[in-house]
Amino acid sequence: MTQTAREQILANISKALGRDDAPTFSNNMSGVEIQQKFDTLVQCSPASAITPLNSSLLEHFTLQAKASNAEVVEFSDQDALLDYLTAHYSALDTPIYTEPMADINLPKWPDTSRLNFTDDFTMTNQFGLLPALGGIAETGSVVLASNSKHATAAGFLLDTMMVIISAKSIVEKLEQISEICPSPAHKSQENPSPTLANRCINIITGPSRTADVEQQVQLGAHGPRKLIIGIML
Amino acid sequence: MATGNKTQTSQTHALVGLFVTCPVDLFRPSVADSTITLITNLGYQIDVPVQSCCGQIGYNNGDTEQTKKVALNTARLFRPHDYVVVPSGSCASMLKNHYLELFAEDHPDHAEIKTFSQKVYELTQFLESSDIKHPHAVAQSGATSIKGKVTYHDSCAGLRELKIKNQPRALLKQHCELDITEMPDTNVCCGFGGTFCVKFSDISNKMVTDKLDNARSVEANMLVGGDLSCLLNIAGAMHRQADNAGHPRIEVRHIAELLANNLTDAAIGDENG
Amino acid sequence: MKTIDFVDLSHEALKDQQLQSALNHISGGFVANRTKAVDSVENFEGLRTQAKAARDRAMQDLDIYLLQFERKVQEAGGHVHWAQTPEELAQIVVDIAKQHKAKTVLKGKSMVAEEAHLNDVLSANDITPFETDLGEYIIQLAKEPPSHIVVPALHKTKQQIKALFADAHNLGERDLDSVAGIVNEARGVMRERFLTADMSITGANMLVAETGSTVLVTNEGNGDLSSSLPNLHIVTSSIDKIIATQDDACKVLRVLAKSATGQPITAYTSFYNGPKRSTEKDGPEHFHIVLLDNKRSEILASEFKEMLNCIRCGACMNHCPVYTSVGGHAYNSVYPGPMGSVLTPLMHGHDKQAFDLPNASTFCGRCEEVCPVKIPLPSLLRKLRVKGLNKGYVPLISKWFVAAYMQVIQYPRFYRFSTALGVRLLCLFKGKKGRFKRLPLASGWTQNRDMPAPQGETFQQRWAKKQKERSQ
Repeated sequence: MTQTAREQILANISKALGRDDAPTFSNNMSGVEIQQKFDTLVQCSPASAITPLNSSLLEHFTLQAKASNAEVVEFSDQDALLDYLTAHYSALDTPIYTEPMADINLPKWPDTSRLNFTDDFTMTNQFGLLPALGGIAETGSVVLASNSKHATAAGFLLDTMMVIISAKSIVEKLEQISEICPSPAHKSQENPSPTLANRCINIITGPSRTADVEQQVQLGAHGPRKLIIGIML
Repeated sequence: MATGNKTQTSQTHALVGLFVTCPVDLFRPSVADSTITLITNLGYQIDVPVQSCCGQIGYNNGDTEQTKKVALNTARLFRPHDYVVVPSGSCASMLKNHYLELFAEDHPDHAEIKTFSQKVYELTQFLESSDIKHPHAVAQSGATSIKGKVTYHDSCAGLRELKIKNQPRALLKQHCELDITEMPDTNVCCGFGGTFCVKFSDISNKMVTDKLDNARSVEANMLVGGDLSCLLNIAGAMHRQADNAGHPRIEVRHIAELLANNLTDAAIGDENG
Repeated sequence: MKTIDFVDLSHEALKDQQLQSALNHISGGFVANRTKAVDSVENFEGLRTQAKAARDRAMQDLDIYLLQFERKVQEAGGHVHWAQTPEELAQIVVDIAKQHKAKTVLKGKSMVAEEAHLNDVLSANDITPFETDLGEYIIQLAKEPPSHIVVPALHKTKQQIKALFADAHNLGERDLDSVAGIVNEARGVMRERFLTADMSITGANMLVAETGSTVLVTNEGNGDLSSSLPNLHIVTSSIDKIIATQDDACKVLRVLAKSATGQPITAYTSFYNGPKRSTEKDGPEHFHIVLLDNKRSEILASEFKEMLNCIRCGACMNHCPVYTSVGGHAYNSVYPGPMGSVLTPLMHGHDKQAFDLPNASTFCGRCEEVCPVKIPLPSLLRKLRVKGLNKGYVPLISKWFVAAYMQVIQYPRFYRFSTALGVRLLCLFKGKKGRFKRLPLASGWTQNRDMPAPQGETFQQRWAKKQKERSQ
C-alpha cells in the first residue's frame, strides 16, 4: 500500500532522527500519546536571557513604545480620555470607530455624551480607539486579540489607531503573552479547562512601516499610519 | 588558552618553531626575518625545520583526505618545539583550529593533533599573550619614524577564528608609538580568499577596491596587516589602480616589519629603492 | 540564451550601475541598524544561545512536534496538508482555491511559495495573485524573482520603482519622487484588493507545536489584512519552521527583527490559531496549512542539519561581501547569499551550477558571526565543496592543480627545492620593478592586480644557506 505524503514525510523524519521504530513511529499515534510525548519533551523551558529592567514597567514600556514611533498619553480616568478625544478628534470628516472596553475596566464605554462613535472601521482616513488586552514593557508593544467585540481587521484598516491599555496590564517580557492571552496549552489554576484560544493574537509595536524602498524607513504602509497608546493609570 | 603541556625549568631555553607560511616563504622572506628578530629578542631559541604549506588550499577545495596527511606531517614536524609561531592569522588558524576539526575525538591521531594545536600562536597573539611569561619583555622597536597616517587591516581568519583585534594595535602603540587611524569596515574581507581571488576575480576586485577606497577615505599613507596574502592582494590592486587611475599610493607592510624596525626593504610591490 | 552561470551573472551585476547603487544602501542601512540594535542589548550573545537552543530543540524531535502542531490546528477547526515536493504543494493550493471558487488571491511573502513558483501556477489556473508586501509587489510589477529573502526588491532603486508604478497605475500626475509618495500609492492600490479578494495565501515565520499557532511577522500590516479579511486563508510553510513552545518562539522573536532590520521587534507579530471562532467578529471560516518537505527531511539526516535552524532573517546576506557586491539574482536561486549557498545545492543535488555557489566565498566568516542562531555557515559551505568534488563537479584542471599541490607539500624538501627554483626564475624577469603587470598562468590574478615580486630567493633557501654557513 502506497504511503501518503504525510506518512512518507513523517517516516523520513523519524528515520533521520534515528528512532528505533522509524518507519512506523508516527503511524496511528493517538492524540493522547502525542500530547504525552510532547509534554515530556517540553518539561523544562529556560528563563529568558534578557537583563532585568532598571526602571518601572510603565516607564520602560513608555520609552520603548516611543522609540517605535508610537505616541503615548496617560489618562487618570474615562473623563480625561474624553477630554483628550474632544480636544483632538471632535472635528473629523469620518465618525470615530470604537469598541466596548469593559474588559479593561471601562464598563461605561462608549460614552456618547460628547462624541459620536461608529462600529464601522472600513472608512478611509478614519480614526478609531479600541482596547488592548495588555502591554509588553520589553518592546513597548500592545496586545490585541480577536473576539466577539474586536475584529482583527479593525486594528489594520484604521488610519490613526488609538489603543487603550490599563497600566496594570503591562507585563515585562514577550514570554508573558500567555498571561495576557491564555491559550489551550496554558492550563492553569485560573484556567483549568481552557477554551480555544482566540483566532488571532496581534502584538503591535508602533505604526505600520516599510523599508522596501532603498532601505529608507517609511511610516504608514498598509496598517495604521499613526499609533497612539492611551494608558489608563 | 593552553600554553603547552610541557613545564619549563627555564623559559630561556624554550624552543620556538617558526611556521614560515607560503606567501612569506615565496614572496617576502623579510617578514620571516622580522619575526625571528622579534622572537629571539624575547629570549627564545628559534628553529625553522624544513617545511611546506599548511594545506589550506586542499582543505578549502574539498580534499580532506590529503589535508589530513599534511596535518599529521606538520604536527610531527613540530614535535620537539614548545611553541609554533606563525606570522599569519589564516595559516595559524588552520594549524590551531581546522586541523583539529579533521580528527574526531576517537581518531587515533587526535591526541597528537591536539597537543600540536595547543602550541600554535599567531605572531601578535604570541607577543601579546597574557598566558605566556616571555623570558624578556617585547623590545621597543625604535620604528617611530613612520610619517603620515597608518591604518590597520584585520584579516578575517585572524579576527574571527583567533579573535585577534586588540593585540596588533596595542603592540603598535606600545612599541612604535603609533596610533592607528581606523578606516571604515576594517572587519570586511579584502577579497583574497585563496582560490576565490582567481576564480571570482571580478568580485574579488570589487572587494579589494572597496578596501582601498576605505583606506583612501582616511588618507592613509600606510596600510599594515598581519596576513601577507591579504597584503599582497591589497598592494597588488593598489599599485594597479595607482598606475592606471592615478590613485594615491599607500605603503603596504606586514606588522612584523614595523615591530622589528625592518623598514629598509621596499614596501610590498614597491620598487627597490 | 540567458546565462545562468554564477560567474557570468556576477559580471553583469558588477557592471549594472543601478544595481550597485541599490546595493550600496546595505552597509548604512541593515548593517548599521543591526549593529545599533545589538549594541543596545546587554547580552546579545546570550540571546543567540537561547535562540539556537530553541531551534535545536525543535529539530531534535521534529516528528513529534509536527504531530502535535497538526493535532492542535485540527482541534481548532483548521486543515493540515502535507506535500513532499513544491509541485505537490502548488497542486494542493490550487485544489483548495478551486473548491472555494476563488479567483483572486492576496499573497503575503512566502519563500516556500517561491520554491513552488506558486504565482505562475495560480495564473495558469485562472486565479489572480496580488502581492501585498510592497517589495513583492514591486517585483511582481517588474516580473522578476526576489533578490533577498526579507527585502525582495532590494536590487531596485527608487527611480526604478517610480517608473514601475508610473507605468502600472493609471493615476495621472502625482508625486512619486519621494519614498512617502511611493508607499502611499501602494497603500491606496492595495486597499481595495484587501477588501474584496476571495482568499489569501501567506507564509509563516514559525509554527508553534504547543498551541498550533502560525506566527507571522510583518512591518506593513499586509499579513494581517490578508489573513483576516477573506473567508479562506492558506498558510504555506516548510516543515522546519516548527518551534516547540510559545516560550521558544519568543526566544526566536527576540533575535529575529534585530538581526534582519535592526528593529527590536517588527511592527506586527501575529499568532494565527485556526479559523474564525463562532463568537468572533471576523476571520476566515476556512483555514488550511500546507506543509512542505522538499528535501528538509533528507537534510535533517545529514551533516548539514544545522542549516534547518535558519530563521530567515537575512543577516548573513546583508553582511556578505560577495552578496553585497553582486546582489541576489546572480545566485539564480530562491535562496541567495550564504544561507542560499548552503540550501541550494542541498535542494538541487544534481545541479552542477548549484554547486558553484559554495565556491563563491572567501570564508571570511562574517555570516556566521551575525547569524542569530549560530549556524556554522563557512563550515557547511566547505563540506559542500567536498561534496561537489566527490560528485565530479569541479573542473579537471582545478582538481588536478590542487591534487598536485597537495602531493608536493607532503615532501617539504622537494617543495623547498622547486619553490626556490620558481622564485629565482621569476626574479630573473623583474629587474628593478617591484611587481609584475602580467604573469603566465596567473591571469586570474593579474587581470585586476599587479603581482608583487619576490625578494630574490625563498626564505627557506636563505635559511638553509645561513645554517650551512653557521655550521662551517
